[in-house]
Amino acid sequence: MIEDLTRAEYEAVLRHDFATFVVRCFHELNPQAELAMNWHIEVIAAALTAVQQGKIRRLIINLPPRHLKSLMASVAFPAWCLGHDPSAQILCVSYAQDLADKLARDCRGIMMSPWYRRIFSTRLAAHRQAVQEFVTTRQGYRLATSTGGVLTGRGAGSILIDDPLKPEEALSKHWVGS
Amino acid sequence: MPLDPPLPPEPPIAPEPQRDYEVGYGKPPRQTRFSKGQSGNPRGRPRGAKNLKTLLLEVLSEQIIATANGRRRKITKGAAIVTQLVNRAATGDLPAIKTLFGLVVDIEGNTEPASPETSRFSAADEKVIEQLKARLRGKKRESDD
Repeated sequence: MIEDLTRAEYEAVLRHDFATFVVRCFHELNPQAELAMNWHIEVIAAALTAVQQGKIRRLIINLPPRHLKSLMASVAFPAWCLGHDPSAQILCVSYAQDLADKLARDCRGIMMSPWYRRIFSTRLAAHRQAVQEFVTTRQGYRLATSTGGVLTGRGAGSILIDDPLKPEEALSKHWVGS
Repeated sequence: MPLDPPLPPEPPIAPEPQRDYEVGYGKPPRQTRFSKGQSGNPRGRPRGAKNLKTLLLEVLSEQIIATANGRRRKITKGAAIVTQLVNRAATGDLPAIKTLFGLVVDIEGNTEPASPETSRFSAADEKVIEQLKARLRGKKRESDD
């Protein structure tokens, strides 16, 4: 049945099935690594799809390290949202700017890849491609910042908080309480 | 009265009572207004002056007679430039090729134009398809994990 997928069919699957999109992103960002597919990826993908469709308004994902939380939620998800809605406004927060920048770089890499540009018509505006905030030609954006960073005056339709605490600070009463 | 400090001499304009309207915001005394035909900024933009963009677009859309494939046709200068550029590039003229590539990249975005229907799937695409097939097979067998 799916033994002979045409390119058009394959691209349709990439466009509409977030789990497949995630797998494609994984291979884009880890060209050498093998992905150990597991059911939890499909569960998260289903949940994030519901978020994109507005069926879930608040979602928390807790998983051990190296389970593709960040890749799915902070890299693939913004790219996918912007693919479906080039005017989406997305804000991504992490505990440190360099982590936020890394996730943003990955996301931008996805959005500039040839396969992404084939399945979606979203394009980054040529003059607004800074890692920390890149803007599409339709005024959507993905803004990356860190906890403690300045956000006054900036808003977004979706806000993704990925690792808001440094590991050692997670044990500190001061930070957890505040 | 005699102790009043001397006021600076009044400018030689009509005295107050002659005004038939209130002087206020946006209503300067008649005597101090620019008279008709006198510009407040004589060296400002002359009428009919065009900016660079307008000039460029106007000239680019001017028609010229060009001979292409033995036939004389009316085309715009813009079209003539593009034709010339592409033709020169096609003959292997390196500067022309460079310019043309820059143009193409600008139009298509910033990486290579989305390659149309590349013959086969890339290695990464193959992996994705494998995974997709595995997932669909797994669904049919029901729970396996």
